[in-house]
Amino acid sequence: METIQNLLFGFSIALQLQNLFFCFVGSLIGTLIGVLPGLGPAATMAILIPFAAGLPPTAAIIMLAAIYYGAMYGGSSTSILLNIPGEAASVVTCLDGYQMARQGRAGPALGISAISSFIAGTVALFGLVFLAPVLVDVALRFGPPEHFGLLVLGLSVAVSLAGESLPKGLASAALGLMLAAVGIDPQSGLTRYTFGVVNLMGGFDVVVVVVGLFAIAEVLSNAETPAFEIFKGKIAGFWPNRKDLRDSAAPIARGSFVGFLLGLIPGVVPPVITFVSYDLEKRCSKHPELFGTGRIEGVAAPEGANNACTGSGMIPLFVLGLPTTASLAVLLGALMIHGLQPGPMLFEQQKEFVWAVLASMYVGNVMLLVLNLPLIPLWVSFLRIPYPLLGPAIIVICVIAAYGVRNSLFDVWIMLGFGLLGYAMRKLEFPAIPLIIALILGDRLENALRQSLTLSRGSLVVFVESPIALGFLATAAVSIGFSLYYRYQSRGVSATTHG
Amino acid sequence: MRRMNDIQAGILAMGLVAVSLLSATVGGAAEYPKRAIDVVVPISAGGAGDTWVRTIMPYLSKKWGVPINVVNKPGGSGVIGTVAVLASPPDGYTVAYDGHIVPAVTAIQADCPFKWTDLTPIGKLASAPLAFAVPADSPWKTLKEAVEDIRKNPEAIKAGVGGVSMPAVFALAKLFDSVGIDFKRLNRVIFDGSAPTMAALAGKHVMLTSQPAIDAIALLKAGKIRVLAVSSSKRSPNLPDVPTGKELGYPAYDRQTYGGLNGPANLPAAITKVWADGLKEALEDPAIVEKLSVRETLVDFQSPEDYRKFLETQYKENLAIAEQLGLRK
Amino acid sequence: MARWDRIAGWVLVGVATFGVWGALRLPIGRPSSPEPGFVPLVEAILLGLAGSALIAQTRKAPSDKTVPWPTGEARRMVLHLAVALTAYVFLMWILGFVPSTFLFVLVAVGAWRRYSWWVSTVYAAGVTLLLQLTFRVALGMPLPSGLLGLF
Repeated sequence: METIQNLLFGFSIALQLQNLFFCFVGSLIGTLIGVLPGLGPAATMAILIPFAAGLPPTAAIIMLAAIYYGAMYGGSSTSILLNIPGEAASVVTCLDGYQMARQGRAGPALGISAISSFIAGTVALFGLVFLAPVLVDVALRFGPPEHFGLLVLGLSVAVSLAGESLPKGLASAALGLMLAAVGIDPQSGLTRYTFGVVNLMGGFDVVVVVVGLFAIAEVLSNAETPAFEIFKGKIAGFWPNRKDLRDSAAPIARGSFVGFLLGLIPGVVPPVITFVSYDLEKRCSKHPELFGTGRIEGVAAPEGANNACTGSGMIPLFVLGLPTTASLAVLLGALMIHGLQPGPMLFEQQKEFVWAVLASMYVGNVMLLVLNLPLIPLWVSFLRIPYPLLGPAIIVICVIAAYGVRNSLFDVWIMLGFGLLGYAMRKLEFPAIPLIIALILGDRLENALRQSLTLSRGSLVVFVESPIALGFLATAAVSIGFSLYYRYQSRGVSATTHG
Repeated sequence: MRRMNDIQAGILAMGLVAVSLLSATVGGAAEYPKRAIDVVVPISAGGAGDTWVRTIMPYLSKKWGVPINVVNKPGGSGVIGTVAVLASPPDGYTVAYDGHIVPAVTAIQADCPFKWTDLTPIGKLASAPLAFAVPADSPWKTLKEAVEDIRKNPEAIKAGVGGVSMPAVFALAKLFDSVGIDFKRLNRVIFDGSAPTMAALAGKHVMLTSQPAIDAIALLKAGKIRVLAVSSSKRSPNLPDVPTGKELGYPAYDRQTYGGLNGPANLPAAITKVWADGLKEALEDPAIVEKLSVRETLVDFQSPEDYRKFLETQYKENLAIAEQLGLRK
Repeated sequence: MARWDRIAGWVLVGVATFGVWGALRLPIGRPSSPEPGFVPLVEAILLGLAGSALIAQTRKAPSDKTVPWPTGEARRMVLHLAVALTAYVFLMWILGFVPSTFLFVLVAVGAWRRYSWWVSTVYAAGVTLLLQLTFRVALGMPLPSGLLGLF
């Protein structure tokens, strides 16, 4: 089959020494970027574009792409070890991953995260290779009403993660929505809730809030414990055991599937995809109430989704020149600089390049697996550092992270504020996840709603007319319905969300 | 040599002191730049304008022998980064990149914390044309057909734009105004950036867009959209079959997106000149021209004075459009 | 817990009221054609409802749990870190990254009262140096230089 031939040809190029080297460099940088909270792949890629411009096109794009998916690998490490998400897409991994770490199971968590990412990357590659053009057309059918439906589904996840007290969970979500509204309204240019403070015109950045709400609050909480090592007990092994692997198989499959499909749609960002994947996993589980206490499925699925969507995001990029996320927009810029025009012409005239890049993505996945697995004992040993030393270091890294997002000291103050708020929220048992979900989704949700209503000139029927939109809304309704049902049926046993 | 007497020595000494003091104040520019310069880009890393800046600055950095840091300070449609530069001392070590931000945001936002006149224009770098695009199966095959159809029933037309202060808004407003159509009557859908707008066009959720041509090329070649016109004065090398608005008899479709540099108020003319000369030279470098033209961007250097006039014209046009459309709040 | 839940509930209602006020300063529009103030208004109302529900809940089912606010030693620790962190951000603005980071780490490590001043100083210096090298030098990331631009 021609495709297989092309793929093999691509591998032959991807495995050339120079390309291999830059794939490695990119993976390494990407992992580092992912581990360090705040510095995202998009900014790093942009900074490296002038450097990459001097390289031959294939090597350059291979390196930049490796940074992108490498960051996804790295982002989960700090989520699991320190409850600090490396980026917004890793927030969900904190829920169960960190709990596993506290139970001494950081190694298996990290291991499953890497394995899941690898398998998902492979799945994505196959999907990319064999299904590419067909799926793009489906993805384009996503207009504002469909986006609205998907985002409502994402928001409904907040209900299922509300914890014991529904009013508290809803309050957290509502607060997140209101925080998202601060700044300039994208639909009209009006400033909302800024009260003349210029810095508020940019609104609250998700990473800054997450770092404050999770990391700073975490350190403050830990400071109460006189024990010098927060992670009590033996570190139970560095690798996932057989049971872990068995338990994770289906979640990985589901996560990859969901991630791959949703990653095709321009405008759907990885955080949303991981939330949906986590929620799906929870519903498919026999013990949904245990999610949030250290279930390995809660790590396997979102990590798979995470990596699958980075792979499938390449499809709209290469086929239509449509970047689905900010990082891919940077990659698009790099393509252009090298004179590579996305589109069908790319597949025809630059076959060698396209297949080399696709093949190198697989090579990159292998490399990252090889890079990350042996590093696990090293990462885990970080946990042994006495907390009086580790805690302050974490705080400083958080400050750097918050500053680095927008080169703004104002953001650091915001982080501090949310750190204190997060601490209070823990004491008062207000869940933080709904706030984060709502903050990420708030603006997009409002945009999609208003765009839809503009298109339909005010008619709400538009949400019901589209089968896709209707499907998502119905799923959200059912999802909320079940959540409420289980909640009132089993008052005693309910999901606890940590942090 | 005859020995100078004390008085002559004293006068000579005072003269030397006076000369060195004078050169320290006036001739500051002769030693500019002496240390690292920050170019503040008020958009996120990786955006089109950001890449232009990152392409050009290494040349200047090498020429002047000082590091030039490109610092992204996104937020508030470019307001935050611009305000940060306005608050910096006018010593030429902090400048702001302006990618269709200043004259647009100041026109649309009544509570914008600065006016375009608060900045010292340094020079324009480049322009990139917009492309009037429709879905591939649209009944409109020429711009004329589109305009006539729109004229008949503006309310039925769904137009997508990438944001509230984007060039697309003003480009379309200008175009329609010149043929007697009130842009306000069209169903204007605002998306969050160029990519979602083009995706919506390709998916046939809207009927027309006027985003930067660079965002349209791939979709055009993939057969998902049709480009009816470009807004540059000459045909674009990457789109040789697409006529310009001027050619088609619609010279009002001439809005492009552009990039330029500004400094804080009261930037000394000597420093501005150093920048202007440097930029002019950089923009003549074939490698830079090549890298920009690949991105559907034409080098379009304007001196500080010309750039100032350009900004003024843009601002006045934008203000009129903003008020007509009821955008200015 | 009930008492604090009630307080939290009232705070939320307060925030919601503020939100409603802020939203009403903007054009609201109608459900079929929402303006910038519409969605924030709805969100603020939702927050108010959630807060009220919380208050109502505390009346119905008073729980015996108490809020685990820290006391004694734990409280000292948290305050120590919180104050140090606040000072850190402030100092970073004035003095820049290097001195403020060094001082913060020094003071923060001291909160646990486990290590001698010597060890803390060396550690603080080491961390500051390492971060300076990693971020400013290796990654080229700009960090605050303080008001005088010295550090």
